[in-house]
Amino acid sequence: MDFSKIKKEFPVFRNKIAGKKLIYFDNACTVLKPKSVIEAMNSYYQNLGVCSGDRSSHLLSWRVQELVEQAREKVREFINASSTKEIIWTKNTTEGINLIASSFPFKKPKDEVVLTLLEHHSNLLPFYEQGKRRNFKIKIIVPNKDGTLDLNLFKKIITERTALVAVTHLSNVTGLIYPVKEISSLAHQKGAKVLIDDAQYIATHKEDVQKNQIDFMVFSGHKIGGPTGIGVLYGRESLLKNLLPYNVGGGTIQSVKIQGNDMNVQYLPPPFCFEAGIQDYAGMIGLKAAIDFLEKQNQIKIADFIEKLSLYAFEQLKNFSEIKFLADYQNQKPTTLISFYFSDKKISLYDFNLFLNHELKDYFVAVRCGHHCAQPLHQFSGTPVSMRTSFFTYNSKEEIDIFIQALKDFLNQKK
Amino acid sequence: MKHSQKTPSLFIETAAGRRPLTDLEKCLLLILGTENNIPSQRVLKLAQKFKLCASCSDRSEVFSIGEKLLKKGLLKRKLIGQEYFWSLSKKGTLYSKQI
Repeated sequence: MDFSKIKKEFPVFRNKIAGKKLIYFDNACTVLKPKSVIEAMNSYYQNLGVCSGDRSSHLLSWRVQELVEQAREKVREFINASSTKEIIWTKNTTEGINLIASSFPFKKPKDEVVLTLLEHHSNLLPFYEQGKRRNFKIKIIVPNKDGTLDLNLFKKIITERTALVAVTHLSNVTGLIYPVKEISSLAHQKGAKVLIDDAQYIATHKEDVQKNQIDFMVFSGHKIGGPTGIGVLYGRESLLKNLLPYNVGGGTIQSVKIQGNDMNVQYLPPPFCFEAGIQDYAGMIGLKAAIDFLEKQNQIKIADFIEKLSLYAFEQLKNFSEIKFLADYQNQKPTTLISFYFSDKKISLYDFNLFLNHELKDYFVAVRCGHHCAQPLHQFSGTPVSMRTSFFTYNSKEEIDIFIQALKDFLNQKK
Repeated sequence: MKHSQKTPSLFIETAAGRRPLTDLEKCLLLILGTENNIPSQRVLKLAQKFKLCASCSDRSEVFSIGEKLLKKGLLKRKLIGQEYFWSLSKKGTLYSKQI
């Protein structure tokens, strides 16, 4: 697909924002929605709009059931899982991680979780909270100053006591890719399992859970151009069977019997025992459409295109003496995004953010300014906040040039 | 949108009808009621002092809220050099006094 024409597939670009054309560099937060995703979801609401066939027994519901299971098969194929039984629908990445933190069977002496300081709050807080309640310990690996991870630290910190290693595949702050296959291998050598946060990685790079020896993996639909409110937890079938019940209720059981004051409950096998209540059918259908859209563009070409844009952005930004980066992009390849801050604390990133929104004559530039739900990493990097420019296939070098010119203009503003 | 039960209900008109101000909207009005015509960095510093501002999870939200209040005629924003200065309008001052 020719990426120069791809903007036409995204209806949001037809709109003017405050009377200006939109330049969208906030893709690490959420990717904009292609027409095909919107149409797939509309079609569910307009033509079906009913429960799936695992609840109701009429023909309409069986049609929904078919679409849901097609979507599950599409996800399986997308990440190369060995069975659809390994694909659990969630609300988002965060819910998938909370599920694992709440349900993983920690048993002494294997009662430690290894995390890194690079993690999104969503991959820190579920383990922090459940660690307090379920009495397991957390160990946190600190990255190198250049944003990379030292595998020797993993060798030291992963021990026979480690039950689970939970790491990001691509940081939402540094934009660097981390060696999950090697980390998985180190964890497995000590009998530990791995949970990979693929929220940022999977939109632009092909994941293969079997090749990378991944035990659990999570991602969100909205970060790949799908709808908000739908996500996926992948788990190896043999491991899912050992997880404790998490969110239970309708749709999760084989039988419930009251025996005196007690209940005898038989849960369905995975994935259904983890999918309680009415599900987000439109979301699942929309997610399938988003994966179809990505595959049509070819993920290898997407990764290559976005890496080139990220590198181009870095090459321009590094010329500004006022800027510091949250990773060493000179020696580490930025893959999807660049995060930076002003070394002079008197210059506010928030003001530059406002400048991008309001002072450009023809364009409204949307970026992310804040801690990006990764306060510990910012604390480590010596800044409370950063500005993140993140790219997707509808972005261009010309848009980056507009951003760079805006930065020059902002820094040249005189009092 | 989060709404506080502890402060008086103040309303603004929107395309979808009249609605109460959120805590974050009240937060910004309260800050500027304390110190008017201040730069963004000062807004953030003062935000740390007010309980009402606690729902601001990623700090930049406070400025998105500022844009909304600006459109409703409650605030003013001015770029001076590399800094944006925020101040209350007459209407905003009246609102701020009620928080």
